[in-house]
This record gives sequence, C-alpha cells and structure tokens, in this order.
Amino acid sequence: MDGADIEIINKCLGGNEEAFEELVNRYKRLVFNTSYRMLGSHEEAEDASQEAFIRMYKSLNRYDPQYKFSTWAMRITTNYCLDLLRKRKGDTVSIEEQYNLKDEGLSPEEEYVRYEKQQMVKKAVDSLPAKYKELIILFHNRGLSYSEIMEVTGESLTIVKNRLYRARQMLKDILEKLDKESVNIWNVVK
Amino acid sequence: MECGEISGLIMKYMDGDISEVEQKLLDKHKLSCEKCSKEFEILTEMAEFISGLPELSAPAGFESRVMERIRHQRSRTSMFNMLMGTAGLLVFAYYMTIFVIVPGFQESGILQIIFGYGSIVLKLIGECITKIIVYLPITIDNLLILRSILVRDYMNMMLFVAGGAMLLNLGLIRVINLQQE
Repeated sequence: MDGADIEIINKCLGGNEEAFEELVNRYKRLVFNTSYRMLGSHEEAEDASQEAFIRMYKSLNRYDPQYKFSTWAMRITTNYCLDLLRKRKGDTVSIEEQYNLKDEGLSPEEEYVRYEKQQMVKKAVDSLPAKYKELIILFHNRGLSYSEIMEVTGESLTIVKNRLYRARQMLKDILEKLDKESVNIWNVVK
Repeated sequence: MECGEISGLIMKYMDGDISEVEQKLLDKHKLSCEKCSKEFEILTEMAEFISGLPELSAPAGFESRVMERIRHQRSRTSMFNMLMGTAGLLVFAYYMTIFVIVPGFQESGILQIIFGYGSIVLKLIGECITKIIVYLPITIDNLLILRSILVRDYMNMMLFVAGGAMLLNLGLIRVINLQQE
C-alpha cells in the first residue's frame, strides 16, 4: 500500500497531476472524517478537506517518505483545522447528528439514553479548546498511537501525554456539567 | 492508595498501557471508592463513544472537485508566469531599442539606410499580419498544447533570462550614462 503511495507521489512530482486523484480517493475518508470531527459541520469539513488536499498537492515535494502518507495527511489536515478553529474562536457549531446505533437488541429507552449520551459526548468534544480537541480526536477517534500523534503534532511525548490526560479530564468535567444541567443520564456523583 | 494516584492508573488503562499489578490496584480501589469508580466509568464510556462516532463517507464527487481546484490554481499560476515572462521580454526589448540599438545606429550612420528599406519591411509586416490572422486559431490551439508541456519550466527559465538581461541592460545604461558624463 505504502509502496504504491510513493509511486503515485513520484508520478505527481514527475508532472502527472492526474495521478494525485488516486491519492485523494485513498485518503478522502480519513481527511474528511478528521476535519468533520475537528470542525463539527459538514460544509466546513468539506471545504477544509479540499483545502487540505490542495495544500498536500502543493507541498508534495516536501513529503518525507520515511513517514506514512496518512500521518502526513493528518498533519496537514489537523494544522489547517486548528487554524480555522483559532480564527473561529468563540463561535461553536453544534449540529445534531443522526447516529447509526449499531447495537441490536436495545430497548427504545436504552437506545434513547445511548443517543443522548452520544450527543452529549459530541457536544463536549466540540466545546474543548482546539489543541485538546485535536488530541482527543487523534487518539480516541482516529486510533493513532502516541508515536504517530507525535509525528502529526510535532510535539514531544511528554507534551502529548500531559495534554491528552488534561483533555480527558476537561472532557469529563464538561460532561458532568452538561449532565447536571440536563437529564442526569450519566448519574454523576459529586 | 490515594485517589490522585488512581487517576493516573485510569489514564494508563485508557492508553492500554496498564500492568497487571496496576490493574489489580485499580480494581481494588474502585470497590472501595465510589467517586473513582464513577470517574473510571465515565471516562471509559466516553472514550468508547468517541471511538464509536460514525464514520462518514466523503461527499459525492469530492475527488473531481479537488482536482478541478488544483487545475484551476495551476492554470492561474502558469498564466501569471507567462504574462510575467512576456512583460519582462517586452521591457527588455524596449530598453534595448531606446538605449542601445537606436543610439548605436545613429552613431554609425546606418539609420538612413534602414529607412530606405523601411517600406519593404512594412510590406513584409503586412503580409505577416495577414498570415497571423489566418493561422491564429490553429496557432492558439497548438500553443495551448505546447503551453501545458513547456510552460512550467520554460517560463521560469524565461523569467530568469529576462531578469538577467534586465540586469545587463541596467549595466549598459549605467555605462552609457558614464560615457555621456
């Protein structure tokens, strides 16, 4: 897979711009979902993903083949999303999302609780400060390892670990706060 | 064990990096401490929800929109390079004519002879213009094909040559100025 990636990249660098379409095809899902989780809106995520791919195309000659292309793509995508989030500042986008609740055999009440919890978690993730949100998404949603996160963010292991720990605690605090304000489905003990 | 230390163990558990001994300590503490037990429950459930957020498909026609934007940007850049190259050459030709060729001819006295040939040259130019009008559509078509092949490297080179020539030209102007002084 990676060998094929590098072949495509070499083709692009050799002047065959159409070869890039194959890379877009391979990584669009990764880039789009990362952008969507970072930005929280479908339209913004599409714009950001397109821009991220254009940035990849422009800086393809700076790609270092010792890293996986997916890591490099994530790096460019998250950096661009972080820029957007910094510009956006206080405005939070919260979109109700249609979840596909895969667990079968749940009672309607259980399904409702599960849906409410998912909504709350999503809302909590959206309200995290950008650099903490980035780590939560990379580790828990994209399933990246610490070393991959270090490559994506360009930060040391200590910083990544501390920031992720802090992000989890913040997320828990936000959830507890949201839960107290609404239906108390997490049964928070204080 | 203090609750603060347990918090560290919960993080290790979430990282998938907890040892057997630590796992036992954590389990034991959870039995006796409701607060930590709840914290563990919320954090692990939260992580599970985040990893279970549904994966979306990229919007339909995503690749073609990206490629279209890339092509659009590339053609804009190459157009700009071409314009810059042409502008550089025109400026160069203009300065060469004004400061080098015309004064040179005036000094050597061949200007009169050139005027003699002027009418023939004008006639030739007229014929050329007619040909250009006839062959222009074909030429433009060929140029467009050529451009996509050559423009990127060629125009950069032209810019470089034009820049070099401009510098040389400035040198010449300076020499001429010095001579006049």
